[in-house]
Amino acid sequence: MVPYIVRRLVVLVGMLFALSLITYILFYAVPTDPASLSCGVHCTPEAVAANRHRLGLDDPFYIQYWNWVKAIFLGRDFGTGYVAMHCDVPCFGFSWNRQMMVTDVITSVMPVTIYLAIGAFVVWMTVGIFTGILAARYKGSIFDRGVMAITLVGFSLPSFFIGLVILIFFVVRWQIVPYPNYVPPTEDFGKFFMCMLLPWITLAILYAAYYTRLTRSQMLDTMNEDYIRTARAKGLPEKVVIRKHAFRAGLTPIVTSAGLDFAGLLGGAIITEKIFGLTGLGSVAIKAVENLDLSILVAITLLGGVFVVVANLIVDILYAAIDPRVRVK
Amino acid sequence: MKKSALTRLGVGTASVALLLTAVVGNTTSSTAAGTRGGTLYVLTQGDDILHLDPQRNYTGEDMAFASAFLTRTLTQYTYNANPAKASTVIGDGATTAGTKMNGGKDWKFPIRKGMKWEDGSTVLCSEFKYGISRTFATDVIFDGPTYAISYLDIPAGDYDSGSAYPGPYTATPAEQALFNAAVQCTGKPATGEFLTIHLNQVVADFSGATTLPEFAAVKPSADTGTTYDHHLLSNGPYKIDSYVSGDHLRLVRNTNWASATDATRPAYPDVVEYDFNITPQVVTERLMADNGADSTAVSPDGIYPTYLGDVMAAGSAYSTRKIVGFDPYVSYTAINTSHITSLAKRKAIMASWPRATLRTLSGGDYAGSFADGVIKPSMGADYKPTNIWGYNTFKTTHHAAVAAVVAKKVGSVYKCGTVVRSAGYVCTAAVPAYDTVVTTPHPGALGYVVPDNGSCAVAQQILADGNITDPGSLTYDYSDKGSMITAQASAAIKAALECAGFTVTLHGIASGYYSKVLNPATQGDLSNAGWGPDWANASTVIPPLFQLGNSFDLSRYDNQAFQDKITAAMANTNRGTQAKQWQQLNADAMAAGLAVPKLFTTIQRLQGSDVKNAYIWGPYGSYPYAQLAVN
Repeated sequence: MVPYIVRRLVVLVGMLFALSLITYILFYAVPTDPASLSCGVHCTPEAVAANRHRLGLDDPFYIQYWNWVKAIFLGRDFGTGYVAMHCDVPCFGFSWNRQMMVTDVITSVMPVTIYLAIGAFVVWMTVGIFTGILAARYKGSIFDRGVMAITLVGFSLPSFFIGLVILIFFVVRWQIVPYPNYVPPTEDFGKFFMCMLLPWITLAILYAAYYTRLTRSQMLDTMNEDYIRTARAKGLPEKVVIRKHAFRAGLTPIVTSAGLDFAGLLGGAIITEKIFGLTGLGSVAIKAVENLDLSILVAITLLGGVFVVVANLIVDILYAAIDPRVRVK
Repeated sequence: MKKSALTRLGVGTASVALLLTAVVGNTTSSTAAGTRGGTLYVLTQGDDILHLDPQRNYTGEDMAFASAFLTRTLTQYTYNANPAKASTVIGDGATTAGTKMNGGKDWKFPIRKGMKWEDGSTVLCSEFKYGISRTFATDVIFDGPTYAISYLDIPAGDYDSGSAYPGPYTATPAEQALFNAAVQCTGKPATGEFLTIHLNQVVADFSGATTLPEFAAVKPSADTGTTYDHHLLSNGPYKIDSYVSGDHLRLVRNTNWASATDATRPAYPDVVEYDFNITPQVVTERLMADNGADSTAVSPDGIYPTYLGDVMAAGSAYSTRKIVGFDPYVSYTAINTSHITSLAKRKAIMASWPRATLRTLSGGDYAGSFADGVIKPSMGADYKPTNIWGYNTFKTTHHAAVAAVVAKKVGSVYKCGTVVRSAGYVCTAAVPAYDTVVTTPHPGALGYVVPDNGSCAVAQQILADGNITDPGSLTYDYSDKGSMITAQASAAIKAALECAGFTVTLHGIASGYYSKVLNPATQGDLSNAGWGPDWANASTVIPPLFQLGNSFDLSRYDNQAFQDKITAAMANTNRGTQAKQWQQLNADAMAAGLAVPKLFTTIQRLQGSDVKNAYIWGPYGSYPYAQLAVN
């Protein structure tokens, strides 16, 4: 197991390196000039040149990339003299649009996205798996048909529509919950919970519908297997048959999807964050796109990639734990 | 000047005041009453305030907000629902609006005693001086107004600002001496300090310039350069409690603010909270619903278009909570005369412009009224109709004799008219009397009457009058953020100009719009723009827009006689005759085809039912933030 993990970690480092290079090339290849964007309205060619020098944009591309990678591990200084700024490790650059270090921008909003992703993940996995199992257990029943119909609706509605409807009715018109003004859980858990409840539900509706269907189909596949019949023939209670034999065998694709979906959300639930006015990675990414704030875009894209790659690794390791057949000897 | 990121002001004479007062929902006076306490919420779809740093703050709403709560300027406008009264300049950080000396080339401001920073220290004259000096450090302090650079008596030089003084961060002692000679502090804090500013020209209304936060104090030890936006040291009634970009800005009372030194900021709410990043539709929904804390909320954003009809309808449930007024801006398209040298072509461009279509796309009646120049009626005495578009008068003639003859019956209705008679029918006594309308055109400065949506035929006639058979190609610059409305508007403009005979290339600019069009090397032939005056004088409209090389000169009109008129108006210290000069220059600019004026824009706002003293404050087209109180 350990050599397997080490091997995967080595591959992961290579992937991250490739990802960082591709991301950097893509964004810095776009036809825009960060030096002029950070120069205000009345910008002279001299001011643009000075900005370009201060940002290191007058260096060859490979040096810019190397400086950028180096800064992640060693930090970096921008400019000299009275305009000098130090960027601590891990340094992803300076956002001239926000006048902040990119790392500070990301760390200030990252908790919102993490809490949003974790909460939604818990809700959708709980609801999705539980209803999926029940639907499979009572296949063909009214309950099964009802669940499938509801999931079809949930799966079809885009999150911006669900979010807006929930927000306008539950918050504005019916006032069941207050408008979500983010409060850290360490400060006031009650307010935090009420703030995050609707965003969690919005995200969970979409994902839970998918996981209900996925769980149901996996369960139905495995419950027709011979070993399930054997387990029942042995006289095992149905609960044990489902939990230990059917569900565990059908869990692998669910874990795969869950890992990637969770990682994707950590990169920013853009629409949900925007609708509920939550300032997480998604909202910051949108604003960065609007302002062509390349340093933030590169960092968030890379971070999103890191989440996916790491989630992939965790999923692979979980495979081995769930299904002994995939363990490396 | 960026329409949404610079500018201010709409002024007013009595007639304008009457006009605005008529449409204002809640009116109040500078002595508006309120009770202390509560939280005032400001809801916005924007994800941040552009700049709180006084020397970088140049957006109407942001200046109104920051000046009300955090930053005291040298002078300020009066809080009054009547725009004419609101445009009166009074002292703020200075005890008066300044004393004019040397014919308006030197100005002296007595610094108010007893003002405190939030750290408890006294606000000094030298800190006003330091704040002004920051404007010159254009590599750090950008995005703000640059009147200090233009007006202060400091030699021109090679720095980016065009001055010989590089700002306080890098100045050598010799360079600092240049600034110190132009801006001087005398006296002592205990007995009274005076700030004297020496200008390089006569500026009769300099006390208007000093209402801008560009002339506010900054404490040197608190100056953090580019990051001062987030670390502002307040000398107003509130201070920053917490500020998270994209989330919120929370202000609490500045306990060191000396209310005795400040007669215009009653500071009613205990807390002011600016909530960013709210879905635009939800902002209006919340204000309409008026539930809970939202009853003490205002929004600098317009009413969401879907709800405009409901909110603005006469007798609606929101009639006591809606307010309407002019914002400071005029939208127009500048014509680059260095590219389009033919006057006939420029007039043809103006005549073809599909103004009615563009107005409809912008929101129709709610967007504003058709503009006839770059000076808005809310500028009061400086405005006079230019008659650029011309107009028709109609004379209706009653033909009683025709009523005696036969008409054609169409369905159950008898119709009688030219077509009917030419078809061989006659009118009868059963038909109402037949009227004809004679239209008499009154051509405008373009030589023809131009309909609201432009006219292909008129444009072609103007070109023909100028013996132009092939008007050639044009590029149209516009800020393109990908909206469908922008796409429709640019397509309508292209179609209209091509109908007149031009070949048009649309040049949508996704980012850095003004940086690109203000650069002669990258500016096209036509550039979409918007402008609002910086204070109550068209000296902040005509020169910036049309004086060669000025800050927002997109028309680049190299005509000595016209330029001399601008110089003469600038130097005129008689406000009455100066106003007439601006009126004439506005008309001259239109007749010379320097710009296509589009809309005198208006704004609508909705606030919670527990917000008191809300109106559109003329100077910034904003709420009078300092006066707002909540129940």
